[in-house]
Amino acid sequence: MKLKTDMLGDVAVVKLDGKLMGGPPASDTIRNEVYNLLNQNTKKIVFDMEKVTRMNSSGLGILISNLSSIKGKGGELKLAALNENMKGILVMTKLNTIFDIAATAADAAHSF
Amino acid sequence: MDIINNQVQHLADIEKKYSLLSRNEILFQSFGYDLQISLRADSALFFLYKKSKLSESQFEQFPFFPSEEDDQPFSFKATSKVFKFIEQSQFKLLPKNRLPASPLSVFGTRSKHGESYFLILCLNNGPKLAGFYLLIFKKKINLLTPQLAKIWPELSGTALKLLTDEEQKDRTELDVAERDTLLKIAQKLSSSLKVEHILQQMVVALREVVQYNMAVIFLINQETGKFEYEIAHGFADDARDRLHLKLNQGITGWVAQTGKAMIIPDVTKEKRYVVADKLVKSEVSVPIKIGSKTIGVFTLSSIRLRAFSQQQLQLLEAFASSASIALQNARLYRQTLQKRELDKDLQVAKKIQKALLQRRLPNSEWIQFSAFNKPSKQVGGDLYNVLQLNNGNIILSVGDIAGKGVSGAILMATLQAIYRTEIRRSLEVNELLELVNRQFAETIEVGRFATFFHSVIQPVERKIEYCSAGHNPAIVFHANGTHELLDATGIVLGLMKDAKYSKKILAFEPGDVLVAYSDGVTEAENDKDEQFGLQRLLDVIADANTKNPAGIKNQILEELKLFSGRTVHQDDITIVVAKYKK
Repeated sequence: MKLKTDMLGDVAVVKLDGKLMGGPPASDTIRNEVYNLLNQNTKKIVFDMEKVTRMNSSGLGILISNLSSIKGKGGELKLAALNENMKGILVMTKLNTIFDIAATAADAAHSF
Repeated sequence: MDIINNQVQHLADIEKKYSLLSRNEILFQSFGYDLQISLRADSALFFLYKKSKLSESQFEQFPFFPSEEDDQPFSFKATSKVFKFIEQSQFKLLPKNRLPASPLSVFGTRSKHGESYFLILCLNNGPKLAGFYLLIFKKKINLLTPQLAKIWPELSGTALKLLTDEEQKDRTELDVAERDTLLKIAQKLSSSLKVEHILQQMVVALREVVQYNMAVIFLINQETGKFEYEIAHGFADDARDRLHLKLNQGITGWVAQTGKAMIIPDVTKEKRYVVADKLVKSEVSVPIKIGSKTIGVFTLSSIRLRAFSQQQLQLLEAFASSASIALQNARLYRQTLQKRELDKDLQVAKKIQKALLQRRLPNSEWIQFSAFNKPSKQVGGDLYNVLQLNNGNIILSVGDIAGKGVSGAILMATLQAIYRTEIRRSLEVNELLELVNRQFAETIEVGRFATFFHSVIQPVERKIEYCSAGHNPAIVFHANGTHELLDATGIVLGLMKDAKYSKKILAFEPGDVLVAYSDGVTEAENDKDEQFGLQRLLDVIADANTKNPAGIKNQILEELKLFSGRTVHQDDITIVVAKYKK
């Protein structure tokens, strides 16, 4: 799992790249990035999932724990550019009710 | 953070409690749960007599669930007034370890919680009492039925025999535990078995062999193949940053790759030399080898030109060979310790799981069953239940914890324990799931969750009532060839304490098939990175639905194997099939 963050105004767009399948490499990489952003007082965060090829329930757990730490600091997290597989998982688990989901990263960034 | 810390603490407590339980105790407890469910008691406490313990009551109380909060009126500690009352009124007149005279007895009491009725089922080991089950009822019903009185001696005898057998095994385990403690002490004493320590000693010992100003030791990580410096001595702080070399980089890297020692009398005349510290004028670099394999390199540097002789190199090479043995021993020792720790964790988790997963499926007049559960590792995060109630209804559930390994297994055990405790309350399916969710959410860390499918098959009414907490859609395949997907009726368990679930009802008639499964089935991958998917599963069931449940289950497993080829199962797999007999 690789990631790259771009700032769109006061919104941080974190581009995730690779498999989001749980385990320390992916979860640590993302957690560290979110931790840094929150420390820099960035409160609006988008996870751009366009390049995420695969996600399982552990990957979902990573998204949830980050959502929770971002909300805990008074921030907001939006997900963007999910593929059909990931949308399916979110709908199946009804987690689409707790995540804000946008079609593209730009849409997500503008919706704050 | 406090909430998270509390949850982590709670989880750690549960783990600790479970890990302290012997197989004997788990068996005792699991037998108690079965009694509780089959006799439909509102609550239950189990007491096991402990020979070795000098506890007040001499009896260990089980289970850990439900908690001791106020909303659990029937849960009380061994020191509570209710317990004292029971102890005094029932057991006082009897000699210790010999209570009550009859293996079965009933009495009622009145407390601030209202009226309660107790049924005591004793496990008598000859004249001694091995333990007893205290079942608690809110209503006065005929507890001591002739059937129970008839079957109890045999039932308790069987349970007792199992317990005694297990106790024997536990004793052997205790010996192993003692050995482990000794090992830990040995580990503390022989700190030289630590890699860092050996390296430190090497740097010091090298001084006795030759005069040098700076020393650096690199090791090749045996797992990642990375070349990393472990210890540097005598260098300026800014020089340390330049010590990150790759294999084949600098003299040290070159020696690591070729496995041949080198003396550089004048570093300015050596092209391969990489400057780390400007003061260095000459150096010697020696490989640390095991057989022909290079596991590391040490390089000594001097601020003098031509500081190292060929003779000294021979000494250093001899030194390297003895250091390599020490390092190898340390590495092996560390691996053994790590493996031992892991094995221990796994043993605990396996023990818990074995006690919690069902071995026998019920015999129903109307419904046939088959179930399959295989963890991807030694332990898993999937669970299932198939339980028959007195009225012939069947409770069928499948759950899946996100995350595998030991932590997943502990959460699975937690969820199963909560579910098995609450299921006795004969609640509506949605009320039950809400209750289970609330308790589960209080237990787990952020980011952990479980999906769960809970259903009640009602053969007489020919219907299924179900609730699904974000679980993969179970499938009902009707005898007429149509099918229904049992989609989620609420969010996954453990995320939101007050989550609501809706109940759904559908027809289930003779010839109909219900298949509930975990995502290990639909997310199984082949070597082209494709997933098995829901459609393939539906196709298999359409093809196999005239078979009996075992036949259907086997066909799914065969297709899965064909699809994923030689790929190892990535996830736990659970399949439960129920079919209404024709």
